[in-house]
Amino acid sequence: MKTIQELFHYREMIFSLIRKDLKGRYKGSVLGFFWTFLNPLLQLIVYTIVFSVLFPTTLEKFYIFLFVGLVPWLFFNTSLVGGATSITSQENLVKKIYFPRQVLPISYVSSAFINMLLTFIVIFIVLILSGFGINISVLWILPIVMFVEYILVLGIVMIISALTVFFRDLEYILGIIVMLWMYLTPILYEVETIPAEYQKLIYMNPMTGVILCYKDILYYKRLPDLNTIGGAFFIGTFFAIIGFYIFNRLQRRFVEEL
Amino acid sequence: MEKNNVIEVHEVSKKFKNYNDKSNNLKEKFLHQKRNKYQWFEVLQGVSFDIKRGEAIGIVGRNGCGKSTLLKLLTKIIYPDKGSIEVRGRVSSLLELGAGFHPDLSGYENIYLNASVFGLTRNEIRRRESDIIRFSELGDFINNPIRTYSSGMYMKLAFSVAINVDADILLIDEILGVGDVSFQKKCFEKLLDIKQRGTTIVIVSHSTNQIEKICDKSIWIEKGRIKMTGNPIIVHEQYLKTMEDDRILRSKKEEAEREKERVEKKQIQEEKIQKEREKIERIVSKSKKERSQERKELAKRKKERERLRNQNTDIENVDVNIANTNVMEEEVNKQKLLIEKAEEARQEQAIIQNTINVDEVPEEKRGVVFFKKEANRLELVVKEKNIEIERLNSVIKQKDLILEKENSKIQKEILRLNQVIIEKEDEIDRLNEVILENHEEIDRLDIVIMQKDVEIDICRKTLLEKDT
Repeated sequence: MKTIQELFHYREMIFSLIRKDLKGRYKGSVLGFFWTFLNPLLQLIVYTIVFSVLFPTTLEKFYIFLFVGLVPWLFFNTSLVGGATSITSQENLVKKIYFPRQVLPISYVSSAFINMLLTFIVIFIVLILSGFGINISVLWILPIVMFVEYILVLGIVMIISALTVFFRDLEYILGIIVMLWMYLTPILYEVETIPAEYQKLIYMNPMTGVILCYKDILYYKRLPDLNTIGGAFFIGTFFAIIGFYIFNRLQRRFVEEL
Repeated sequence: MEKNNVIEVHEVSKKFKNYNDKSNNLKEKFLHQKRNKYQWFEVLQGVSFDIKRGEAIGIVGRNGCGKSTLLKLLTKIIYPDKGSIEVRGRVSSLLELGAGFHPDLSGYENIYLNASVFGLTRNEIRRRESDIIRFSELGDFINNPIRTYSSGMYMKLAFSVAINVDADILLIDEILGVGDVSFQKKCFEKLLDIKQRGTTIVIVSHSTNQIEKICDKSIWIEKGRIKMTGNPIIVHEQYLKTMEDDRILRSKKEEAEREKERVEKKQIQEEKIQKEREKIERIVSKSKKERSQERKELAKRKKERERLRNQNTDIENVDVNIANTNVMEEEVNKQKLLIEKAEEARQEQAIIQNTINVDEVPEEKRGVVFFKKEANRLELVVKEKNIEIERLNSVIKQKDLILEKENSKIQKEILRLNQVIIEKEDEIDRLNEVILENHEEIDRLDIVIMQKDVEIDICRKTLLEKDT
């Protein structure tokens, strides 16, 4: 509780780090901030080509099915891969001055989250322009899903960023783990289409619930059932608490290990 | 926590791992477990003190005594292993100036960034903005990116932000050396001003003067423990005295160590010299052996020559000359005699020719007379020829003698030349001897040179030592 209070106190630091991050992200590139939108679009094009031309699926408007899952996934992906080094890359700051260390992963995840929110503008534009349409009546639940994903990702990044301080290799192992993780998450396929014995494995994945919620709301245009969103919420909260707890325990020895 | 206290440090201990070879990745952690060996190093051992609101505390102590660690503990950069630290209020630390500065952002933007690292909200920063800019003396430079700043400007800005945070507790580590003299003075005055307004200040410094000017109390830390607390002037007096004593002790110890080192070095040098000498001696004895060998050879050759010379003198004794000349004269006389005899014989012939005149003899006897005459003449001719033969024999004998004489002369010449050769050889040997002597002299000088070289080496070393 004290930590949260202190974090609130240091909110300006979080904001300025987010600002710095967003400003600095595409600094020096010609298209600059535009890459925030361009990057997921290009990835969408690649996956669409692969899965509608090379491995055709039966799903109607596959690219939308893909897009609504891919954007939240990219948020997860960048947060994990980049967030792992959020402490180690700020070594100088951490070693020399006091601030609640949680500020670093929080600001990193937040800036990635803001990036995702901006990309959602692109999603809505695509949904409208393609004539796919939006079910406004279920849209109110979207911010809740986003929040759940945010705390879930934050919790995981907390754990990983703290562990990376002690095992620097984690940073590199993570790339391959996240890739595997993506295929265990129903982004490119529906859970029902895979063999039943593996479905269990998919449901054990903490990201599954969140992604399914996004697909329900934006692709199937329906309210996710209570089990899915409830489960996602439970997992998200669980990870957030565990993440904070582990981080808090490990952060005491950060300076000595850096 | 007591009401008046803002900092309570209770029985705080802190130890660090001293890694022999630190590794932070998995591979090394597994592969080189031996390398991950470390020793615990206890920096602080049960330190306790309280600081009241508005107090200014100085912390002194020698290098590595743990005072910076203590300050880091107070800022919560690190955490104690044992004991507890309670801090009430906002802490601003001047441990590291310019934390979080971003080189590409302007000084103005960096004020916000840096102040936010101290935990200030946007509104709070806005309120202090003008103060910070004024204090930094940067003027219009505030809008330039700070990568264009000089190091002095950078530090001024950083200090301005840190000191204007208006924290309840200000922790300072050896920083009153920012900028030029006037800025330093300004900082100092600002500190006094801050203290006047009731901010608690903790200063770690080696400058006891600064602490005495600002602080009400001084804590002296020695080897991770508090050695003394109290009035700065009294504490510092003790502290400086101990430091001075230590310094003297240490310098004595160092001197002793140096002396020991010197002695050891000298010993090593002497051993080296000894070795060098032995080497030289070996060389000398070797060359001496060679020389004596040569000498022996020379002596041998001399003996040989002596023998030869004696032989020669034996031969010399044989003198053929005198005998020869006598014989020769005899021979010449004999020849003369023979020539005379031959003349006589010729004259007799002529007499015979004259005395027996063919006309006077009767015709019938004329033939006998003629043959008688002829017989006489032939007899005479034979006689003449005999004499001639005798003469020629004598001439041959004479020539033989001459030859003999010549021979003996040549022999003598040969002997003489032999003598000369021996003499020359003597001369050569004598010169060889001189050469030998010179060689010996060279050897001796070589030794001297070598010794001098060694000496020079020693001198150079001592010089170097003295230089350092």
